[in-house]
Amino acid sequence: MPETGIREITFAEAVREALAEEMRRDSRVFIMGEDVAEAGTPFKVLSGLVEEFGTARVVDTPISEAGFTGVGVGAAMTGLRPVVDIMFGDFITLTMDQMANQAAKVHYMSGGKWKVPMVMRTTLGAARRSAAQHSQSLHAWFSHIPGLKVVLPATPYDAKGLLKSAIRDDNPVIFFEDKMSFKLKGPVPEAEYTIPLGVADIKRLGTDITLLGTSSMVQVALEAAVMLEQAGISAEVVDPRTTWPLDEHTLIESVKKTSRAIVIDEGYGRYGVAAEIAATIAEGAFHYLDGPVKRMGAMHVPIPFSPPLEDLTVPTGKTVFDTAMKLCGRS
Amino acid sequence: MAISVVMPALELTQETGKLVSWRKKEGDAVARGETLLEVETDKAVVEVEALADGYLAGVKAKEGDVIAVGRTIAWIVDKGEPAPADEAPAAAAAGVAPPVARARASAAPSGDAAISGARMKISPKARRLASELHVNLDSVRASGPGGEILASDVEAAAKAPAPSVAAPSAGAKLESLTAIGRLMAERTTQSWTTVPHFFLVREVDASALQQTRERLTASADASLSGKITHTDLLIALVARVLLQHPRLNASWTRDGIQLHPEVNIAIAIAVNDGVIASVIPSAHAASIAEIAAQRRDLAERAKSGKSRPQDFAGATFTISNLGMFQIDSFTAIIPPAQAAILAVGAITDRVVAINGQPAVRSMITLTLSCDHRVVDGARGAQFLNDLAKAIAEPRQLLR
Amino acid sequence: MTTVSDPTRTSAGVGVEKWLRMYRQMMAIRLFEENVNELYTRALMPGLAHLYIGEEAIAVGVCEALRPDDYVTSTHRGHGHCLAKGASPKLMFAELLGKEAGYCRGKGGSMHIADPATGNLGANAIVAGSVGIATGAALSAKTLKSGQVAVCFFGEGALGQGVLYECMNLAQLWKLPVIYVCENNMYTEYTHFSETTAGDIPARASAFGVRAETVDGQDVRAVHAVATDLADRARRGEGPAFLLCNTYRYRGHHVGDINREYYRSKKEEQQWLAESDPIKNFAEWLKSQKHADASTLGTIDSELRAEMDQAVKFAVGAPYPGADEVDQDVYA
Ligand SMILES: Cc1ncc(C[n+]2csc(CCOP(=O)(O)OP(=O)(O)O)c2C)c(N)n1
Ligand SMILES: [Mg+2]
Repeated sequence: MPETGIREITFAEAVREALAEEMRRDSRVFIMGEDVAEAGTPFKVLSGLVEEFGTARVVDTPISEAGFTGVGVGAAMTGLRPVVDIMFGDFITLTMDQMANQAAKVHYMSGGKWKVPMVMRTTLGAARRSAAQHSQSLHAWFSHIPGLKVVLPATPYDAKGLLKSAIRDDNPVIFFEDKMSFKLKGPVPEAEYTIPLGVADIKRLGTDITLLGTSSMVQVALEAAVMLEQAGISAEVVDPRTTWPLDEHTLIESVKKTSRAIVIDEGYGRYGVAAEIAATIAEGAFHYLDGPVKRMGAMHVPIPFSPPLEDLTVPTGKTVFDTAMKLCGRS
Repeated sequence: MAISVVMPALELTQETGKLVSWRKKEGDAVARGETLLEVETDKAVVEVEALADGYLAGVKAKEGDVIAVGRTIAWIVDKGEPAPADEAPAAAAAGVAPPVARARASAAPSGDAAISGARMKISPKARRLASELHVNLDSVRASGPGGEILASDVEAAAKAPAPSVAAPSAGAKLESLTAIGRLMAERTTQSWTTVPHFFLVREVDASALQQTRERLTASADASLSGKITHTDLLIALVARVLLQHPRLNASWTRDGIQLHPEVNIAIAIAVNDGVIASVIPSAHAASIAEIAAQRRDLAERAKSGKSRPQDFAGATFTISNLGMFQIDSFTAIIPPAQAAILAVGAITDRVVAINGQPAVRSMITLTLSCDHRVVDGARGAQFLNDLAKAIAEPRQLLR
Repeated sequence: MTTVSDPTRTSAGVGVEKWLRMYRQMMAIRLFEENVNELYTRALMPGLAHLYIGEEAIAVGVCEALRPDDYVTSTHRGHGHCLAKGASPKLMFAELLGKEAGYCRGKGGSMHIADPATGNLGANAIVAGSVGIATGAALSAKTLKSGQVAVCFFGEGALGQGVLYECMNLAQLWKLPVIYVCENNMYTEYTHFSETTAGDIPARASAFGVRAETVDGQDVRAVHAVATDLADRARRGEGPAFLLCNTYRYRGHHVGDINREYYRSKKEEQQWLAESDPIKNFAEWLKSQKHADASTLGTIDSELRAEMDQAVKFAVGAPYPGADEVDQDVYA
């Protein structure tokens, strides 16, 4: 990144910029979802877009997730490029048939004749005391389905570059934004750029252990890496950025170098993204591993409301630090 | 035409071999039959011969590498010919693979260096490093959180002076291990600590055996160019009796008991550094003369350190005879991947009761060690029983 | 099938005691929610708080028409439904603060209060998430011949969800004793219902043959009368009903929704407050009918205030659940 023309903006602003730039560039791009227009979503991520693009391109919908997601699929097949907004990631459950059976399969089932250039934007992450139905990280569900791409940006820079690529992609792409990251600030160039889907990013170089973090857990991994440095352990932090396509090469090479790995993902720890990445590493770097590949994810419970309980369910810098120390034989 | 040099498969359950040394280097001219490299298997260090005339090229393995059997490690090419890039199919490659079907032929190649490490807790990286650094895992201190050997432990062991179990007292001489000595240590430790042994002892009247031996040695049969030993007779009899007792000619595997169609008898031969077990393949079908000739060749090669890979290949049952050392009886450790071993003592005159009267007979004590996972007491006893009968009347089986 | 409730039915068969009880219940909800507002703004309450202020007549009017063992399902804006069905403010506050003494051991919070003792199948944070549950409860009641009725409360936002129509169809086919109570407070989160709702709302129910009624949701007597009819009817086996209650939420979508002008005007809010406060209007009626005087009502108010103060104190002082609670109750 060149020094010039870089400013610090928030994650939410980066998302907004990506949308605005793509909407200016391509008149087929439009946004559709609950309270996206004047309200600009409950998180105010889209504030100002309706003023620029009008209600024909920033469209408020009824609370009909299945319906408007399906409408998005059809519109994408026939000449528009919808960005469908699902307010909370928990509500993707309502869109599952449209996404898993329709959007994901249309291209394949038609022998490549129909395309679904659609983006679904939604959220993940706990820690807002929002209880069991507003706190989940369900990106594993979509990652499981062939035909869908899944993006998990962790920084403002990544959010902007990846969202622009997602919008330009001719496949259905689900873009998960961590609710707790919206106010995160980071450097973003003023000049146009995109980040290809399927390229991992090494967020911090290290030699003793690889912390593979996704989305919300990248910051947690970085926090742990700072603590580990004080303990004399050099942690590398790798962010796959997309669960599918998955940049297996970068993940495996990092672990080959460090010989230890912890995968940290906010989805439920079992049967999830962390498990898949851990398996990828176990297969690809087996003879380089000096300990088991550890998974850290949300505890296998519905996210509780009570703050002291909720805090137990999600990995933190401290719990990652503790796990890393143990794995390095230091506790 | 380029001919591949592969890591030879020499054992029933062998998955990998370790390249001990190249006797030729890249570009050297080699003649068919010349020793090309030395390979360490589970059982021994063997010399592998060149299968063709030509030049060594495309050497892909270095000394110390542990390589899956059947994998191409170099090529013998014509002068100026480049080494092929692609691996030739393993089966077509060398012809050194034993004729015996291998028990776990489909098992994925693994990087395991020391089989003795199979049951210890050890990280995959440490295991790989141990093979690369020639570190014997038995001697490595484990520092992992769960008592596992970690990469740093292997590295420390590689840097440390030769490991010793007890601190040597002043003036004590440390004899470093030869390859065969180390293998013997690892193999017997592994077997003794993982195979549930039990032992059956039987005294047998060996008079008929002695008579048969004398008769055969004295006979003018032109095919017999030398002496017949008790061991030769025992090999022939044991092999024939084993045909009736498939469980004793078998291997324990995780998936079940592997019964071997061929009887390949290994005989333990004492050499300078330890014991090696040379194999007489298909001993159940070989004549006594063939057995004797083969046994002589094997022993000569073993004692002069010229064993060939196939000399160790595919044993399914082992006989160990310490009669020549005046041992009356002993118990033997079962070689890995076999179900039993027969320990044979010296033939001595003993007083025995015959029809209530004391009589002097030539007696021999047989001790059968069995793997209880494969053979139970009754099965082992029936085998010994049938063997005793065969020894009492050798002609029955030897035509 | 769409009828607007007849105001002359409103007094039939209801005695003074019951009227005063309705007043007390509405006032309890109002005061409870004002305490929630304060707890939230003082950062004592985690999460989000969706207040029911302004809509009290619906929960009370309907629940007073129900038996204690009748079922209700509720929403993210559910405190009023829970209290009207008989929940204890003490245990509710404790739940809202995430305390172990709360109805759900602190694990549910404001949006998930459930209480079998009062027939409360649970509040739901998924819009229309409890339509299936309520309809299923009605199926049980019918199958087990328990004589119970199930009431499904939801905001008009739930009209956007397909599951509502799937369930109404089933309920009418199977003549299930369920009443779908749609609280049209005119806004979803920040969008006026006219922008999200096509056609005539009750006609959606009557299209299935479901009995549909519309009532002034600010008039507890009217709500109570029609709810009584519908519950009796359902209990007699005559099938489901849909009750559209027109109402207004006096506060933001949640406590933090302060600047609302971009979606609704101050003038509109003030008009509803001035003309349609369900409690104020009901108090006037009670006085005009000589069912109560100002001091009777004042006594009720101060009793309630004392009760709420006590309840808040209890909840604030109550301990959080221990760490070992976190993986309890995942499975039955
Ligand atoms: C399926 C689903 N979509 C979106 C939301 C987010 N959300 C919570 S409350 C709400 C508005 C609900 O409006 P309404 O049903 O009218 O109830 P009110 O808040 O007005 O009582 C929305 C969209 C949700 N909880 N569930
Ligand atoms: Mg509403």
